[in-house]
Amino acid sequence: MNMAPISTERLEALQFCADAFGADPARWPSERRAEFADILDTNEAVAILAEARTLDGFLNAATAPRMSEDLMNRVMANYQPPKAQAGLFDFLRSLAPVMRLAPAGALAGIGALGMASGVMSASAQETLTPEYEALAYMDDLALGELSDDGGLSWDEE
Amino acid sequence: MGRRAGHNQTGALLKQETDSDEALVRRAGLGDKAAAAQLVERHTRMIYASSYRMLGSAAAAEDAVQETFLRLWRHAGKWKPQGAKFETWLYRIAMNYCLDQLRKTKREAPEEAAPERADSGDRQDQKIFAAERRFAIDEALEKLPERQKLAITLCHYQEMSNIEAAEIMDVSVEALESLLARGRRALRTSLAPMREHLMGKMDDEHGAHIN
Repeated sequence: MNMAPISTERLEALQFCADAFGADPARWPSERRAEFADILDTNEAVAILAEARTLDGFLNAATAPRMSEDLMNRVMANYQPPKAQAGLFDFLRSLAPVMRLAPAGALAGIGALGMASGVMSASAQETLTPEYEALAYMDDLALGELSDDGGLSWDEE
Repeated sequence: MGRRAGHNQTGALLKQETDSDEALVRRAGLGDKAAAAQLVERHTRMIYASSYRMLGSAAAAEDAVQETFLRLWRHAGKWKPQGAKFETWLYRIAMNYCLDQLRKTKREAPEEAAPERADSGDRQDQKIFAAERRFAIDEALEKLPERQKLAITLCHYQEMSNIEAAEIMDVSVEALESLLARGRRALRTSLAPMREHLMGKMDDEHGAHIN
């Protein structure tokens, strides 16, 4: 047993570590494990860890989550591949038969294609815009920056 | 032999790259259902378990999982790594959803019915005792400020490192550790009056948690 006196600062640091991460050094950040390795068997440390161990036991006795077996299937049932640009390509493909007509028809087809592309690009952009807005919202969401309507500001407790 | 080992190692690395979350998201975004299923298989349990700890009900946790993946499917085609790992990003979505729900709705009672307080004669019953203890601990967890609860959920229950949890919560490691310490101290204080009772048969049952 280590009999050398331990500084108050070190004991406070150990107390903080046990308060944050519990009694099991295996669950501590590695640098903390190394920092306190030489005092873990002292009376002071043993007392601090015993207190933390009690709380670990309480936490482990909380209700265990039990996931319903078909949740993954239900999640997959909602899977839809994104289709933001599919409409444009489908439309262009549908114009292919026009290109096989007589040259005059083909010319008309090209004109139609040009117009249609313009229209579809514009409409595709319109379709995408809300998606990108949603994406931006998600970024804010993920960063916790939205205020209350988004409800995600990180108020200090 | 060495060459063969090297070849195998390269193959393994390639496979790992192919099966990384990031690769799966890209494929799911292109309509690859198998890739989407692999993401679901990999992440649903942890998202569910964390959401359950945060929201305290199975139905609410399932909603959190569904909503998280709905958002993922909606944006999989456009997802680009921007510093954070995919997993971190996904958990942020899930945990922010949970925080949002906690703030929007007043919490209802946990789905599991609270055991009625047994009289002293009934307390011999192990099941009632265990249920009472779980209820007391669930209740103490539920009363924690949301960020302290989230920190404990990620670090204690999901066994994430302080760095991973801090990244998900978008706070510094120091702030995360402070939330953890304050959360655990608050729990200790709120459970103190019941401590002797709770410790009565602590050894006989420890709730398992999903990982």
